[in-house]
Amino acid sequence: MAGLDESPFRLMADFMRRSGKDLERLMTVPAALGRDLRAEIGETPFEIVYEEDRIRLKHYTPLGKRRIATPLLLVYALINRETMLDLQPDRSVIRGLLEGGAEVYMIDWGTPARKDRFLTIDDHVNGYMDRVVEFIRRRHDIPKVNLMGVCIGGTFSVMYAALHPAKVRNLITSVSPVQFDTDKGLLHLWMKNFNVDGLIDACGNIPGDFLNFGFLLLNPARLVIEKYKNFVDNIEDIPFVENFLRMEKWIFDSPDVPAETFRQYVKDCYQENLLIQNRMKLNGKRIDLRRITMPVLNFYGRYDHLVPPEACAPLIEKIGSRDGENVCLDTGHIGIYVSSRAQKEFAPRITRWLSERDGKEKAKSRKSAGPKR
Amino acid sequence: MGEKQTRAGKKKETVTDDAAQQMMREVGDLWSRFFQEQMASFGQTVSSGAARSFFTEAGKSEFRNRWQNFIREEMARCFQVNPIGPLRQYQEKTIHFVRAFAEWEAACTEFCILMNRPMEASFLDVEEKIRRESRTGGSKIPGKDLFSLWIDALERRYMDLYRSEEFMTALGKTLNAGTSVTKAREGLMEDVLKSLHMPTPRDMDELYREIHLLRKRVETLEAQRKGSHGRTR
Repeated sequence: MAGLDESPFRLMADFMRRSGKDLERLMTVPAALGRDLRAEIGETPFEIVYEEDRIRLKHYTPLGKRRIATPLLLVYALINRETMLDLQPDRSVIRGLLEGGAEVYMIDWGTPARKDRFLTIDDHVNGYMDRVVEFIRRRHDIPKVNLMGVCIGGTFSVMYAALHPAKVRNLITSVSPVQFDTDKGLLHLWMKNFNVDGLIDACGNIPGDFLNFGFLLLNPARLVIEKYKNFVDNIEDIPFVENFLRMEKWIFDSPDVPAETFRQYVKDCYQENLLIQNRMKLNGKRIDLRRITMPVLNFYGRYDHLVPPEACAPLIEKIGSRDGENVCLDTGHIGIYVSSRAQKEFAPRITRWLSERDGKEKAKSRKSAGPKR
Repeated sequence: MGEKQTRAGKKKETVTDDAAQQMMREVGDLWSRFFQEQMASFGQTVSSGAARSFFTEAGKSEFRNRWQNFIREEMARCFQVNPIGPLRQYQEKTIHFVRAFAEWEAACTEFCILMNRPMEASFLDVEEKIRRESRTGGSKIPGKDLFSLWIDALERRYMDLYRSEEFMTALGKTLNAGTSVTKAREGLMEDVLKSLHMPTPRDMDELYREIHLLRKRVETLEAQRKGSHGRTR
């Protein structure tokens, strides 16, 4: 142990010695990665029940007794993939929801190709999402579904609920930005003067690699240096390495984002902040948040630097529903789904909240005990 | 006429040769000065026995200016020939690409230098903290915590940088320069694809747009048809 009362250079020498040891450990990385490791993600069983263009709808059946009559539709963001919600068996939001007695559907947005560059937010919200909701309604013979959106998927769900309130029984949003005029998150700051037209003219769809680079840039100290040092430090710990690989697999598996969707999102949301002012339009139809009259549960992370609490919390005061609740968890943007503490809090709270509200409508949806085959 | 062409050809060759030689000299000189500066800085660090910023701001600034000057002026100078003749548009596109590339290279250099600043500042922060604690006889800390100290300092410094006007300007400039290079490259690629009788990305995009609009029209018509059927029933 080196003391601070010693010369700083002794400390530095100690640091260098440690660096030497780190270097030795670094040399073992290739061999360690060559071991037989389990790093699969999204392993909870599901079936594909609907497909359209690049979109697939995954269906998960409850593990144990079904306690929530109305099926829950999960809408993930267009950035990264929905496998985040089912990263590993002991850290899976999907599994938590199924164990809580929910029947879950989840949209897999797939990989946009160049031909998808003209798809707008309207095509996603009033097109794909609406057709998926219609499919679930028909399949279960029910008037409404429970809707849950994550990140941009949550913003899309807010738009959907405002435009189609008659089809949504309960709305859950998680780290979903609606108030973009804040300087708390770096993304909000950087996007203000971002030349999105130039980028789209040059690239078409926004490349996943570009987005990955942008996210790494947000915090190079933690995401580029500390993360990999921790990995090397724990290279002998097989469960740690497997979890690390799962996260790596997810985080760098970034599909491109359709160009026109990205353009509209940056301009209407980040630059003009139209959504929270009830001024945003999809295909000429204005999104009025006061039309969200169903119960709303809004989650966000206290330490979320991508979508800070200031971008999420204002939703509740802008909607028409009297049954709205903000839930701030002591975690970050990703931690809300993967941290062990959030695992105990996040999914159980959703299923509890849903069953409290779903019970009131149970009588009406008795015939929706399961999907029709 | 033939003689004139030969003369012009010779003159052009001389211009290119001169420019190329000057370019080589400039690169050699630049690296030699950079190396000398760094060795001097290193020598100073060793002789003073004090940890300090290895790459001095003044040296860096001069290096940066000269490097950007080289990229913008010397490199682009090789292509500063007014294009003429039936192939002029290809030449023009090539020159446009080279200039865009030079701008992008310069913007990237500036951006990288800016991104390196928190690194240096964080080392100095850690050094300062150790000195301060050492003077006041502070409590003992394990050497391994130096890494955490440094990472915390680095994160702080990056956050400060990211909120500065200077960073946002550099980021915008780099992105814009990057998109210009991509577009200029696409211009060149289009010519190649056309010569091979292959569709260009622009051709494909036009088709995709048409299909997209047609699909939307079909959807609207189908919805209208459904609506009118419902009413008649």
